[in-house]
Amino acid sequence: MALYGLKVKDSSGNYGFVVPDMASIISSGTVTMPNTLQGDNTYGVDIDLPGVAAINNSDIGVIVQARDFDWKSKLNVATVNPSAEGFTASLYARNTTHKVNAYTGYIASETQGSSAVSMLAQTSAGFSMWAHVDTYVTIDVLHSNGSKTNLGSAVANKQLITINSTAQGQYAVNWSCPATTIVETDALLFTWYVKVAGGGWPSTSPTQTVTTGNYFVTGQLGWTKLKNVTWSISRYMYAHDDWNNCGRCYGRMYWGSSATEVKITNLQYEKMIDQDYWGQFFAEPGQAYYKKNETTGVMTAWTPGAMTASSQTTWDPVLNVSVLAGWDKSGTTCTAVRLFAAIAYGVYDASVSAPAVVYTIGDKGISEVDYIIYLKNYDGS
Amino acid sequence: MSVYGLRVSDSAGNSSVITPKVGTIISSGRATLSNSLETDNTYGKDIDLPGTAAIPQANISVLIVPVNFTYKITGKTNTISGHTQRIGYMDSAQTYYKHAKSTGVMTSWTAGNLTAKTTATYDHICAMFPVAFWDLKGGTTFTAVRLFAATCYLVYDSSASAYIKVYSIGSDGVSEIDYVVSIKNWDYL
Repeated sequence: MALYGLKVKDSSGNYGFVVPDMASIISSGTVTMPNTLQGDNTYGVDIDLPGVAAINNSDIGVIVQARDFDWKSKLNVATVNPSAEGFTASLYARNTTHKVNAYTGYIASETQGSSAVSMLAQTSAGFSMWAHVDTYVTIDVLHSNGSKTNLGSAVANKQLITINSTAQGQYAVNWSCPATTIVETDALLFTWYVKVAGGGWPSTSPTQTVTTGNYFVTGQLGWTKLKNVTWSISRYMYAHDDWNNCGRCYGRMYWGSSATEVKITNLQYEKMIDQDYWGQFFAEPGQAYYKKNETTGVMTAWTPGAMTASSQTTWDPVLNVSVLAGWDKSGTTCTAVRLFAAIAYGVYDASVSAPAVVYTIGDKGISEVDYIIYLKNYDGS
Repeated sequence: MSVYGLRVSDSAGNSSVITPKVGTIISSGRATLSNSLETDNTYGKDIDLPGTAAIPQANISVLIVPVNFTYKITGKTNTISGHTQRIGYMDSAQTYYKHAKSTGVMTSWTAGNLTAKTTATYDHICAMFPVAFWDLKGGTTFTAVRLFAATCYLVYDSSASAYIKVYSIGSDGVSEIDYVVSIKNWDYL
């Protein structure tokens, strides 16, 4: 039972006591939060209290509720969950060279070239009674340390025989590639050979054999398996028996253009393909974030990392986001209530290896709040 | 010093002066929120204000606190550099809404369906939490107060390349709230 107070009742018997602890709403409503700090680098909106005398903080009740907010972060998406998938490729020999896994050779790529080159094998003079020209290839998996695993030696041979004549054309020979597990840094090394064998007069003796070879190498493939399928191995070759002139035999292989090419089709392989996407949020580079001194209310700019590739200290992960609003209280008395509202981010500040709480404000954070300020022991001023 | 008012004091010298600023709690308690939108596609619970005349916003105070909430997302087990993690994504089977501040109207938003190798179907979640506020719906005077509460998701909408916030409601979001509605400068007569 109240000893002091003003009883107010209605005709139904309901009543209430107005006592000195009664609170008055001395201010309420909706305010727009500014986009900038105050002149003293604190932040928020001041709501004046009545009168000019400082009021004890213990006589003040403040409720602030965010009405409208935005948030600022930057997403980085990584691909995850790799699984093996099958693909089919064609390889074309190109007219330029590169060095892969310690071997320098003509480029073998999935893109067809337009400039033809060739290699030649020829006998000495006097061995042109007949000419046998062979082209064949040795195929190896070329590992990153330069070692090799042989898949097939002197395979896909094609022979042309000429007698005092010329033969040439594009010829394909099938070859069965064995199923082979490889790693992503492996390449394929093709050692192509042109061999010419010429016969002297009379009959086929003496004979002379001359062989020329060249490396053709892919880039590091990124593949994980070669499938056991039949490859079509095609090359453009030329055979000539020059009986009437200098008495030599010639064998030549061309590559590099669509008209005269070395081409391998129906390479079937597997490689690991990421299936899914994982997004991690980071503090957004270029965005204005602030740290807050909880004692003084002073906000200081905090600069997020630039999210530079391969530079871990420039990536500041956002671990949580909160809508924060309240009375930014300081001291024990006040003549105005500072309403504070901002979006709070729990981040890991990678540059200093420490967690931090940072804020965005105004239209980049909380742009509007509802508030109520209660006052008790109010003198009515 | 007050010129008008009614001073109430005790023997210890404490006193308050009743002035027209005194607030009256006209409604309070716990409310259950609906699982569906209103017919005008707004959302929340209306609390009628006394009388029939519209009351200015400045004379109304509303406090809302979510007391019961859940969240609705889906997940995938991802292998990242040989490690396995369960990662949450927005759920294409779940109903989410965007909220228009100026009107209170909610429009449905559909999450991507997590199709392998299609990055635009993965909607990533930055944070989620319950929110509650007085939904002004663009008004300045009121005969009722609309209490809005829902679970808020801060999301990267991959198909739109946009950072957004969306909500789930009712038993899929915030199902119960505590609230207080008070008014001042109110004429009881």
